[in-house]
Amino acid sequence: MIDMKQIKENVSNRMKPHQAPDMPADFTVRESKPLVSARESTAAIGASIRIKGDVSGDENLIIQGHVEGTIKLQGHNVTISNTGKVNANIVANQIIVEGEVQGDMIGEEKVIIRETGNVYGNIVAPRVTLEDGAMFKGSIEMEPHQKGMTAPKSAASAMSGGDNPVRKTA
Amino acid sequence: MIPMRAVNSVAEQEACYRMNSPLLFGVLQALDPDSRVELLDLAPSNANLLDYCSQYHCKLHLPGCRDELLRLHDTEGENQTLLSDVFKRCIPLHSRDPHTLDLLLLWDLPNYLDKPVLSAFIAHLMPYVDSGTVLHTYIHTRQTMPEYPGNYRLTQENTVMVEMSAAWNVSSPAYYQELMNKVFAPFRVDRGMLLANGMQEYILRTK
Repeated sequence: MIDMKQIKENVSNRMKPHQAPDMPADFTVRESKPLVSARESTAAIGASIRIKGDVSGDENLIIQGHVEGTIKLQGHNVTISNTGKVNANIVANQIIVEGEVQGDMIGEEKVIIRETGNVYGNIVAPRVTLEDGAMFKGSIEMEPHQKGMTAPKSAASAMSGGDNPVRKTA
Repeated sequence: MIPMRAVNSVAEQEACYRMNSPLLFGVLQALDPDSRVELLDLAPSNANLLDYCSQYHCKLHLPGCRDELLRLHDTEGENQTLLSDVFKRCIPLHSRDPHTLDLLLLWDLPNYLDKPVLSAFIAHLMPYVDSGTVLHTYIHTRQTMPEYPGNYRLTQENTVMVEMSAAWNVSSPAYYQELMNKVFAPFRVDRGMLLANGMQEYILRTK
């Protein structure tokens, strides 16, 4: 299990301006692109990073690299950017796909697939937006009447291996 | 690619036009917003259907396999097992409830499939169909039709925007009602309506 808090702490420590022993006192080494912005409470998995395992945490996440496993950020947002490739089931408040996703997604609020997005999998969310040009193969389940829903039974089933049948409610 | 004999005629129809589709919107408007409905659309996914369906508690199956199905040929009906395997891969209906689909949107695809392929497709769907399932399709009634299927988008004005990319016409299978009942069995024609563009709009049901 990969804990996003730990990732953030580690990266923040690494990013603190540090002073080389033989440098003048005002010389600092700066990262040109910080991986984590504590102010926005958003973590990023950079384009060259590959993660295999379970990702969880209490902040938003931007994925520019590759993730394989599961991503659970309930109450927070996940963005898979243009360079991002995800082979995982995702649970989050809002999921925005600009890159590639192969896996099931549960959006507590909504799922947006941008025109550059490429998704193979099943989506469960109260609202789903598919922009023109987006590629999608799978199923989409929308439950507009359940605001602030938790994962529906069918989606929970899909995430846990699909033991329960999907049944009509009426 | 498509098992239709090309004829030397340039497609005369407009590349993009709007048409009424009374039977389709009749079915859509009859959907109960308080019930959960399941739809299958084989065409490439588009935002308009998603927007339209967002008012319902619904599950949309969007396998996006139309172009793959167009590449299947079985004019003599000799490859049913192979076809069955292809459909299982292309249209993975994972639901374990044996009767789940309420509406099948085939648009004009049946015009472009070999009859045995179409029958195999219907057979693949049967475990997910019950007496309430509605199948909607457009059938070309003229001797020729565009060489590729069109893209169909629902508009907010309850019309359908048709986008045709074909430059040439090919001969159409010219399904008549009895032949449809045979190819689509156990679905049977429930209602039909001739549209202004020469296509016949059909609603089929299993009962």
